[in-house]
Amino acid sequence: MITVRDLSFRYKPDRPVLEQITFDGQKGECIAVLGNNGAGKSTLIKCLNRILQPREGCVLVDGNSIGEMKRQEIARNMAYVAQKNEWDRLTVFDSVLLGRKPYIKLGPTDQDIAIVSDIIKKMGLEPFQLRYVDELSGGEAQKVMLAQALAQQPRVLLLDEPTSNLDLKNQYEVLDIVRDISKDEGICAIIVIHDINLAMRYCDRFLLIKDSRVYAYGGPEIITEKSIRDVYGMDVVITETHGVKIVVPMPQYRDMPEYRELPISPVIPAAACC
Amino acid sequence: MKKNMTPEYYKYTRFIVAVLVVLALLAVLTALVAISAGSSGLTIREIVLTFLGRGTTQSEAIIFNIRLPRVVTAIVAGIGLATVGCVYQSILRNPIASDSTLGISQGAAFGASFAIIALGAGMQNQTGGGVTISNPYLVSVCAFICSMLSTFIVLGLSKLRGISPEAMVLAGVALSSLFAGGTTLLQYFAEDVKLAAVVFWTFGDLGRTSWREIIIISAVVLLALVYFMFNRWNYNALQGGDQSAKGLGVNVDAVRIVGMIICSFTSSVIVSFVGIINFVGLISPHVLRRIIGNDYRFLLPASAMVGALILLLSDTAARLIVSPVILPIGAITSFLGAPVFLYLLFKGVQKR
Repeated sequence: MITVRDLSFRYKPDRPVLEQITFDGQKGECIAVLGNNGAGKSTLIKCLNRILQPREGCVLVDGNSIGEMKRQEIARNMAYVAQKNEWDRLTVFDSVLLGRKPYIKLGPTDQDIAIVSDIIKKMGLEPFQLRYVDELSGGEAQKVMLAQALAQQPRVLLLDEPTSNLDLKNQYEVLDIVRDISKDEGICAIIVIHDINLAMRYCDRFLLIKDSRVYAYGGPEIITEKSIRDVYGMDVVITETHGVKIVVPMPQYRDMPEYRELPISPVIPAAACC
Repeated sequence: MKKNMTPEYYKYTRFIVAVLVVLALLAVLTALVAISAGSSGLTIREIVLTFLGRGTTQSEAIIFNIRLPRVVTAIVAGIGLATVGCVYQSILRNPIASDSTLGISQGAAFGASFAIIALGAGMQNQTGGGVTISNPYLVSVCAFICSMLSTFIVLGLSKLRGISPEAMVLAGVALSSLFAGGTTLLQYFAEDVKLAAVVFWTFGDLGRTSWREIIIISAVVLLALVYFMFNRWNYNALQGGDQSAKGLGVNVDAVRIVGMIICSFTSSVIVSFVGIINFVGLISPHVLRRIIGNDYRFLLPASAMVGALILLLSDTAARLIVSPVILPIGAITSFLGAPVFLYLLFKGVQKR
């Protein structure tokens, strides 16, 4: 449903930020974009919906080229949730209603209001629908931004670090919502995320970015100790507990005398890593 | 009630509509009081009768030639300055953006000083202590050109380095001080009468306008208001930051540049005709944000009414405080506005 081919971007001519990024996303799929700070992850998702203008390459949604669409039309196909939101003194209801902006001509129709009311109910935002967004906690505000993006009824949902400012419970709640909705509505969610374990929990496919290029793209099988070491420059061990695969960073690993002798996937007691 | 609307949200919109209605009624009431106030007292009844075409020749002359032009000027200038300030604050994403921080007021003051001192539009005839300007149109045109000049310099500078709203506001502040410096120099070398005319011009005066100028100002303000209302959703979207707004389908650069030009044009026209009236554009939106929030669908019309209200009240106060002397309205708006604004700010801070 989303097709990205040879996408390249640079801020300055001699400093490429993205080079020949190519991948596909399917309906109902969650794709994690992983990589170091400065690898170009945020830039990538901004290039997808033309918040930034890519130098080369094309992005297709359901076979239609984003490059040939007007901004409003892009916004009907792709919704974007920024890393931090700056709305203030706008009620939750009105913030979500703003997600209908790409459809609104003169004023919101009954249908717009119905869609917004429905999303607010579905996401449990009803109790504070008339509070101002700047008075909410980080988790609540993030849900409002998500609700706004969903009000756009997009085919593709772009999330820039949706969990980085949230506590443990909210991280899982927000990603639960994202996964459920993308499955239910057949939306392809592309999520820039730093926490590999969260990504492994919620995402179906992984786009590893290293030095402005795609290092690997595929299912959970591409998340290996080697691939993480290559992408992040960090030693990790991958283990399993309670049927959940987890990545444990081991910064001191390399210095250990038994470094070579350790098995590829040592079993670590559950208490040590949770 | 609109179909599908939750009852809570419906109640909330009703509250805001009620605020708008109250503001409109207050503005009308204040306008009537403003028309009745003055040296030859008119009752509200006489005013209403005159409007219905049943007044005396004397009351007609007073109302249509003296009081009404002044009141209408207060209303349209108030609407214009307040909505322009409101839009500036959204498109530049800066709470202190207004015509006085963007170099427009100072540009106009410089233009007027230049016309009066250097071009001789201020050959004074001092009769009865009053200072009149011999060629008001030359003064207005010069004021307008210089205030638009500052806008185009701001836009040009920001275009060179990409359009960053912060840079625009900073450039405006820099230009303000440049123009203020220019005005000071002109004044330093000016003769006493011309200096008096310049100072008098910069005070701001709603009594300067005749019906012809009122029609020009009204047309410009009306067109700007229509454009602003068409863009109300864009202004809401812009508050979430440029990138979120783009994600919502807003053509951010176009909204910003066209908005800047229309705002500057409108406030330049107003300032050129009535002189500098500080603070209205800055405080009207801020006062309302604390009451009805930051939703431009409601904030724009409400700011318009509060702007009109502030100017009507200030002008009436300016005429009555030491009647028959008319105090400069710019001073009154600052005197009325600053304490109210400070009070609201501190009250708001405590609440958090």
